[in-house]
Amino acid sequence: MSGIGADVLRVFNYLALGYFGLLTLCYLAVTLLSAVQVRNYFRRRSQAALTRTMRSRLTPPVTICVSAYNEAPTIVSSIRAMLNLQYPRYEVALTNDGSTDATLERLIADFELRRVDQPLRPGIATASIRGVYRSDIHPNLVVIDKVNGGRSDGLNAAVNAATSPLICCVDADSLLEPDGLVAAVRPFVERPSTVAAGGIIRVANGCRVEQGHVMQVALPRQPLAMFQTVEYFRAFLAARTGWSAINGLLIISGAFGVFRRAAVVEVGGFAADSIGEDFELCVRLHRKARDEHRPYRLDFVPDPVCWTEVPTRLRELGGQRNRWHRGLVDTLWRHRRMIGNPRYGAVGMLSLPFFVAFEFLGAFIETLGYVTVVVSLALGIVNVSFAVLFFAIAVLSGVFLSLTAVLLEDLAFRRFERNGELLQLVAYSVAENFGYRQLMTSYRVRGFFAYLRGNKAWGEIRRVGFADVAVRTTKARKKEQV
Amino acid sequence: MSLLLLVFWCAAGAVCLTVGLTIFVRVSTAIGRWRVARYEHEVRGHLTAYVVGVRDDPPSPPDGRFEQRVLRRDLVALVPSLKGEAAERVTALFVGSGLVDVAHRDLDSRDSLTRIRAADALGALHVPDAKPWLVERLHQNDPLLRMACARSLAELGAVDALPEIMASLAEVDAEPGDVEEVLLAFGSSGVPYLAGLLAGGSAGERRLAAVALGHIGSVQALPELRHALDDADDELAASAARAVGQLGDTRATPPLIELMRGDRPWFVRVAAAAALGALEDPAATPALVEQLDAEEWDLRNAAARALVALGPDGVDAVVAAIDTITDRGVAHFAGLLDVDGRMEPIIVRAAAGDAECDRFVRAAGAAGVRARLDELAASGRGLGNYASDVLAGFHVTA
Repeated sequence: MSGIGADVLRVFNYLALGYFGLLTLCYLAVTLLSAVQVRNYFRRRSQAALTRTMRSRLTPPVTICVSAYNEAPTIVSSIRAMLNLQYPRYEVALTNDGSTDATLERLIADFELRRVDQPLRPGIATASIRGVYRSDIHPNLVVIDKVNGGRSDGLNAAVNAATSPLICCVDADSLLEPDGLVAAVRPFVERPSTVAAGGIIRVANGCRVEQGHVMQVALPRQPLAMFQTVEYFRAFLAARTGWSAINGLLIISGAFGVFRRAAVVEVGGFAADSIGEDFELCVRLHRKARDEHRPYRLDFVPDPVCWTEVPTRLRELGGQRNRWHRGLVDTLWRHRRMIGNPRYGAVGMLSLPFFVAFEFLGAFIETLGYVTVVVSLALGIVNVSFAVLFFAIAVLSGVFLSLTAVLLEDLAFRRFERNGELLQLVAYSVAENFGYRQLMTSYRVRGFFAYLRGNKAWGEIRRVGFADVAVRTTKARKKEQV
Repeated sequence: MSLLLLVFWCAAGAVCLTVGLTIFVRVSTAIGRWRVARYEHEVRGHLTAYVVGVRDDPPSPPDGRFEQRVLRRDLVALVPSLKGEAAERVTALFVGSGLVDVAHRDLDSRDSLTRIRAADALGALHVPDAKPWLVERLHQNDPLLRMACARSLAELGAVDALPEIMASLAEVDAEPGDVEEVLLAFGSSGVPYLAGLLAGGSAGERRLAAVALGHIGSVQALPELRHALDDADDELAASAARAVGQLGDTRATPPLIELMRGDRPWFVRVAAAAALGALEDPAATPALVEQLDAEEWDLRNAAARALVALGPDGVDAVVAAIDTITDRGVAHFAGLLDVDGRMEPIIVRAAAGDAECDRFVRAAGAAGVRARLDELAASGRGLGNYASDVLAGFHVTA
């Protein structure tokens, strides 16, 4: 190895170390913002505030929008749970997105649906609608049957059918807590400028679910789901809450998000050609409001909870992360003009640069960091103690961030009461840095190359139904390859 | 290398600190819960028996600050579910236990959550002596404390404090939704003030007043609301339209029709159409039928909904005007009628020989509203022949 090459490797190693330091500091800053936001949240919102919202005549009606594709085994129990939420006025608009199984037939049979000629708002273009159905036993249920067009297209059809000023987009297999909707709507009641609000998604694997409601909260048994539990704490509680404090929130998860319908229609709805449609929609909402100098807010409420089942097999998890990363790259590319642009305020100057530097480039820099340390070690450019310290710092910074998220969860919500559960969470916060984190990084790198190849497939997630009785497969929402 | 070591020790220290903090939080919370459980175990049975009137002696006042707060929290949680004598007993216990003084002191606590809870408690437990304390705290810097005081003053019915509340909340740019909630909490006792605000407040205040008056449901301010329908402020006019609709003031029908037909932005016209629907005044039917041909989907929808809400009058008006309405308008109205489950009775009437209904069914079918016809034709029931006959006219195989 020439002297110059060795110098380059050495400099890179130090740069990578600096990058890790910066990343940790940035995450820490966001976590601190989150802690402040959570504290403020509890100052503002008590159980009494939720009761007031429930009773208030000012609480706006909401349409819960769901897009279902081949969900026959669980769709009836999911919709039943949605029809049993605690909220003064709401309806459920479900799109059957060209399912090839018996999804529609089950809905027709169980909810006594009949086809009607309900006029649909022509707000957002969607694939062809085959029929609209209303329930004789649940007047607040409307089912739209349409030709398959993907999740975004299904949600757009539900948005067109929505009659409420607010829409709540959820996954067909998500479980909303009974008072989740009230808490998520609260920002809209308080601030008319709120255009969207997201809530926390928690891992349902391991929980006891009855009639579409989580009856007993417990940690998952599968290690892969445990790692994701810690990850979800970090992503939702310690990151999104913080970003919302400075109105820089970029993602409101498609699994649970409340939007002002007019704002969604105005920006053209969910992008049917986007693989990360929830992320993309949020960025578009920011962009539109900033371009037109309108006051607006995208809020994140740390309290309302939506439970979701996470993948428990590596192949499915890999596919999911690959898709998420493709969505990230796609959205960053679509809105590249906003990055570093002061016109877009905190979004342009902080959130998007953060996502570029740490979420997008992070995967490459982390991979290169590992490679160069190993190469440097092999070539004798750095000694073993340097390499060990380098790795230890990387691990410790990761552990620190995960632990702060776990601490925040314990301090604010304490969903996991038993000390053993807390111990497990701490253990997994440490363990995830040895293999799991590196694996996720590799999926993200692969996701980038898949994006370059134009792959827009959704992948396949095999889910074990919440009641542990139905094994089902959410088939790939096949999309045309670009 | 030394820099690397420093970073390592910093990171390790941060991890240890976080773990230590997590353990501390767990332990301190466990101790707190144990204390709460112990106190509640001692008091709960006695408290319940006292509140429901089984015992006349209230639980003895707690000595410790911690226990005082637990009791206060329990009482505040109890109050919304109680009425009459039971609620009075809770308030009496609150006052008699010296908790009022504790809450008064807590209003100046250094911890903001303690201040807010104290203000909430004084309102929820209806402590009349607390009015001046709460009014005084309307001038504190903490906007959340101001909100809590405003809410509690509303609970206490302190109407005379309304101007000060509004000024205080305006000073901290309180969110309109929060202010609306406070105004609503005053109920009908706040109507005279709101009517004055509607007549002479700032633009924002006037909008808030219109919304609140509609929700409170008092007819006292109807003249001011009707007057606001003509206001140049579009937001105010729309809010006033919704309010008169909620209040069922049919004297507002002519100005609402004018508003709906006028050249105001679409949301004002939609609000007027929706208000006419809420009024269910047959005098509005011709104007609503006109709007079935409106360009804007929302206005068409509001007019169609209003006509459906009018019941047989609305249906008859549309049936009578069927030749003058475009397919789009017919489809919209018939579609909503179908959703409401009222298309089939019209088909029954049509099959029985009602010529106007027959024209309506055929016009609706031509406009694409055929779900009931398809269903009836497929069912083979008595109306099947009629449905098949109508469908045959559209070259559709039933």
